[in-house]
Amino acid sequence: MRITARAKAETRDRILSVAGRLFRERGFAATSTRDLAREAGIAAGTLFNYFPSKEALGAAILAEGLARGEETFLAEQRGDESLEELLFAHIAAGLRALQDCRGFAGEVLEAALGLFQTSGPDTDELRLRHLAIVNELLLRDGEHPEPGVVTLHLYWSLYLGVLAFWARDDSPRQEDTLAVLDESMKLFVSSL
Amino acid sequence: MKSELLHLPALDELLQAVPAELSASPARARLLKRVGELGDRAVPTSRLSRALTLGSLPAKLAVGYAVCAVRRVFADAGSRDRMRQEAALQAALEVLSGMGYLRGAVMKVGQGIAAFPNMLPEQCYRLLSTLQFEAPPMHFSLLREQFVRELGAEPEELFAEFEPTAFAAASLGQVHRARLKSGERVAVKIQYPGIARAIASDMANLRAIALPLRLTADWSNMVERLEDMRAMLELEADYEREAANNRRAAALVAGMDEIVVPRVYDEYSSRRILTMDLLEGVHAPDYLARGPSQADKDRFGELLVRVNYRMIYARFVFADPNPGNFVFMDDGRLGLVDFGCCRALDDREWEWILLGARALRYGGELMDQVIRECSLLSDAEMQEAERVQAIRDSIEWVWEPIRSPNQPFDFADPAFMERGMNQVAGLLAKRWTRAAPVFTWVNRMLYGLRGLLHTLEARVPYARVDREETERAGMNVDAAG
Repeated sequence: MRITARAKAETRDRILSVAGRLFRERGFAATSTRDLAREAGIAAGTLFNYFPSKEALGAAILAEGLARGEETFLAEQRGDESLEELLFAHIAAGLRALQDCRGFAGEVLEAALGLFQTSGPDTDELRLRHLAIVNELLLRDGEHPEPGVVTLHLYWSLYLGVLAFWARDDSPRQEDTLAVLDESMKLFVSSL
Repeated sequence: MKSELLHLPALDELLQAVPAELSASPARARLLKRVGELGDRAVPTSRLSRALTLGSLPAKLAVGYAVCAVRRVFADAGSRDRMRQEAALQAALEVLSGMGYLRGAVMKVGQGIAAFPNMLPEQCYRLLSTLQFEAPPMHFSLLREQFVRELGAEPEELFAEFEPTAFAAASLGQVHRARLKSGERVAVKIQYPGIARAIASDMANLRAIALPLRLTADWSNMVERLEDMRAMLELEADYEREAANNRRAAALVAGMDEIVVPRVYDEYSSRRILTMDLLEGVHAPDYLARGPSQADKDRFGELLVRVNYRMIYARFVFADPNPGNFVFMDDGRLGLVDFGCCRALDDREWEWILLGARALRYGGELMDQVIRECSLLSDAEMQEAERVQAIRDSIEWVWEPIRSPNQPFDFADPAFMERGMNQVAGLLAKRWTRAAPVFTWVNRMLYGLRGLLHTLEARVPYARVDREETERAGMNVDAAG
């Protein structure tokens, strides 16, 4: 039986939506791929045609959220922001879009994006996409030389640090994350 | 709005309040010398500076990540790359070491202690008074995140207009002008995220480090007073409480047509955001720059004194008499803003206020009782004649405007201000500054008000105001109580 591209996309969306719900309700670790397949109404083996692992599935959910955040960020720009503010707004919009996933984001990030993880196609795309925007912001700012590997690495690790802080932030409404993000972007810009 | 959290006109500010033409006078030179001498003593710098550089929130997590990442790049780089990256790492580390997340909050505390002369012995005063603090400025994107978190919507959605640039700094944040959809012009105060808890944690650090510094008897109640200072700062960070204070103050001045307390808009306020009426007017320096008449300055001076009586007689201390908290309004009224630093008096503290009012009238043993109870002196210490006299003198100075036969009392008199300054300097020098915690608040109010009245060069019928307000409050000031 041939599966149309459209049917494939629908199945993928269904898996993502079911996974998002189960991760939120039961937690990332307590949700098995078998549960996911059952809830999505597909065979366990079929699930792996779409996502090679539970971690990849989690990363895809976060990537979708971050993509929404990027759209918000691009739409909200006024044109008079400093580099520091733009970098802040970029990350903050992503966090806002991921708010629903905060309960399980930590585990997924640790498994998929951590500094000590080897890279893979899913996470590379996420990273490159994010860094492309950062690169663009840096170039547009025009005040600094083209960012080198250390610069981008410093940025990326600050970003991961903020994500890690946010995922575990128990301050009211995660206000501490805002302060950490603000300080981190100040630090990054002042290091340029 | 105030530009600093704890803006108490202590020595340095009292000095600034002295008119410029006096700056060459021998009296001022003597005074400056004295202040300088206070600072020349040995300071336990290492411990204190350690306390002041302790980080607060676990922001170091993000920073740690950064260092770790840069090191990783190191590991697989060739030697030439290594050199280049070493330089980059060095630069990054320098930035890191200089950052000290929310170090500002510690400094604010430090400055608060510095600004309050009887808070700590003079070493601290000298060391801490050199510190400066500014709440980190917030750009619009950070404000937006605060709004979404606190009020569930962005500023543009909530308000008809919202100026993206702050027009004033405020306690722990900044203030923006805006217009409600219903048309009212408002001031919106927004707090820097997380700063309230950072203060609590920084105070705990300061306290932990300061504990071993208890060198003399006068240090012994320092911990208690640090605790009071911490409580004061935490209260100030809670804008919901400030809104409640605002309402209470508004009720207290309800009958005073010439006093305005701005209305708070609850639906646009939270613990971290406070929206209230924008008062159209200026602060003292701009008011004075307009060259107001003596009569007008006197009128404002009397209003300041009267409203202060009204509040304290309602057992309510408005402990933040920073000039930025008084608005000389375009329509001639006096606006009071920023009720973050208010405190209700408990029964025991209220007894001290009554005791003071009686001692003012009858002196004698009542005065000794004031000195003993408010300065927490032991029987043995009450025998130290010089000490008791110094405290008595400072209390007499506080009462002088009420008792003076020259009414209205002229606060422009530099000799009067200088005497007050010298007394404070003397008490500091001798470490005779112990007092019950409530006087941290009362003195802030009192000295701040004096500084402002002096700046205004106001003449105030203090004896009459004291009599009228005491009668109005129905206070029992008979000698026997």
